[in-house]
Amino acid sequence: MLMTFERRRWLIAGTLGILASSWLLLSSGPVLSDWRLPLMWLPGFGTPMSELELTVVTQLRLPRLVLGLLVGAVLAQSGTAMQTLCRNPLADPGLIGISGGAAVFALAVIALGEQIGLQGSIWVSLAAFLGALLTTFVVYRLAGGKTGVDVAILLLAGVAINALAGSLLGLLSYYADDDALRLMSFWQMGSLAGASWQQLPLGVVLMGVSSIALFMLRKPINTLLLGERQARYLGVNTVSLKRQLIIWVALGVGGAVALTGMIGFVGLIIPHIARILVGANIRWLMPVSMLFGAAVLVLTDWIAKTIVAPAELPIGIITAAVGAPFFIYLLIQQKRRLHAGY
Amino acid sequence: MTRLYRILKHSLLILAAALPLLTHAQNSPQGGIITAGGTLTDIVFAVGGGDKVIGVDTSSTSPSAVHKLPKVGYYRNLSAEGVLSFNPKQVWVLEGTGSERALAQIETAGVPVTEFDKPTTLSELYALIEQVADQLGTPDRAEPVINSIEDKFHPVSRAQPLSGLFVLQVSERGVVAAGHDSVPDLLFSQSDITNVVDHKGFKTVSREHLLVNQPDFIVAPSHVVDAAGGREQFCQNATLQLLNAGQSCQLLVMDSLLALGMTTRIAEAHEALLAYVNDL
Repeated sequence: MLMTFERRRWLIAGTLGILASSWLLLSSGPVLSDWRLPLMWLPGFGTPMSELELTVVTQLRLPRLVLGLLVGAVLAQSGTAMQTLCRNPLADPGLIGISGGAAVFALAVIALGEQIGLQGSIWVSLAAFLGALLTTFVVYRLAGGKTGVDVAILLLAGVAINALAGSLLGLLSYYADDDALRLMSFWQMGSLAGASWQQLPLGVVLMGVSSIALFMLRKPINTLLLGERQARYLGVNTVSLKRQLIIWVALGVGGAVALTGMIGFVGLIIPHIARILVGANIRWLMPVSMLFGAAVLVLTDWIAKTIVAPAELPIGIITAAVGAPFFIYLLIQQKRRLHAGY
Repeated sequence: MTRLYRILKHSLLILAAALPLLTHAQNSPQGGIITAGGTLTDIVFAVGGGDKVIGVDTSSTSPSAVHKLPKVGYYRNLSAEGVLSFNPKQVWVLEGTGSERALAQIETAGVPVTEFDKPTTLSELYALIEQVADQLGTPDRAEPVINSIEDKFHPVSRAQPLSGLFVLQVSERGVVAAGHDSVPDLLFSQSDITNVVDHKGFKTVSREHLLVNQPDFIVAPSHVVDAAGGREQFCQNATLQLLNAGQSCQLLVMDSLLALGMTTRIAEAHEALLAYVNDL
């Protein structure tokens, strides 16, 4: 049994991770690197910044940091919620088709925007968000019944929706011209590079609402771990709980995908890492997942920005490259512990 | 888990210790133009603006002088901070450069971004050359460049009908061929050669279609032929072996940039094609 203080340590580690990666993202990059940058607005700390430096820090790096923290936390949190709801360690928001649906709509606008008169990134974001909600609605209707959502049908419907999305994406890429094809593949790899103060309010509202709502549901979600019937006996309205979970996850992930494209790995692996560290109790698991998700996404974004500077790698390539080895290390550790018999 | 915690703590400490090492500024005092898009860069250099260019994107590979310049990334996926790190006075981009948000961010930082239309026809290419020369403040430099293209790049007509196939990609799963609205198609039409495929842009073409519409010869960019392992290997492709032109390896290997780019060197591509078909 993990002691409370040991779990608290991971909360502190996550917070420190966020601070360190945020500091790194704000203070260094292709334009200028100075570890004092995040403090320079304080009077008497360092030399005054030039106009360009000020713009880079306040207009490029700061919104990017906020977006990275939000998206990382929301993806990891949604992953935690979905894995508990489906009682399936492979569940992530992508599994029930949310990301696939978002991708079909967004890429349809990229590929056919000229013909249907919807050009520009705002329409792509909007389409992605609508696609996420619409797919969730369809999957939810398919899995819904008198006793609420049937999790097995939910997963199977997700598989079917993903297959359909894959086929539609193929069709879209066939009809897209060379320009659109490039944009489509970049969109699918995800990036935080487009973050700006203008688009952030929308994301903050969508992801913020989803995140707070899911966080408030921590206790009832915990009872789901015992099984649906047990949760019902404990007085939890599982029908309404499952519905709420799906709605909030769709809202959060829809917002994240709309602003950043598809970023894999975080929603699937971070909850697993957190579970190995603090156990399955949602009370600890959810906040630790959120902190680790945010820290990992900001750190990988910094790597994406600097590793091939002045160019930039799509973040989706790096999240797995950074996270997977760490996950494998944890798995080996866990295996050893189990064999050692404690 | 205590050990893991210790490892994590130590890596954070190392990270914190490394921060002061990051104290450096890359701002160069040059303040010139950054161009993105191979066609645009080629034209800027052709009209004599090369000395004002301080950085180009990775699709800009012509003329050879650009290889000495720093690269700012691929033009469809520019990084705002990466471009700004060169401290440019202006950023010139070809239509299709992205992302939209990155360009907006560059403008927010006070660096004007000018977008030029991507030429798909000869007249659009001439218009772009004039526009670039105007922007550089040397409008009289456009005419000689346009004249030199016009002198060499005039349509020819031939007595015997001739058909061609431009192969962009070749694999076990088929070939991707150039259709309408592509530079190879323009080269074919100027040389009175019928393109055996009639789709738009570059798409996979069915074997049956090719069997019925046999080309007299095949054109392929050099990087594709090299990747296949040379001329002989290239012609051994299963789809191409179905064609008479494939079996006899009637193949023109063209410099990739010449064959695919709408640049000031398009007349050279035309000449290379004519020289080949006249020997057929």
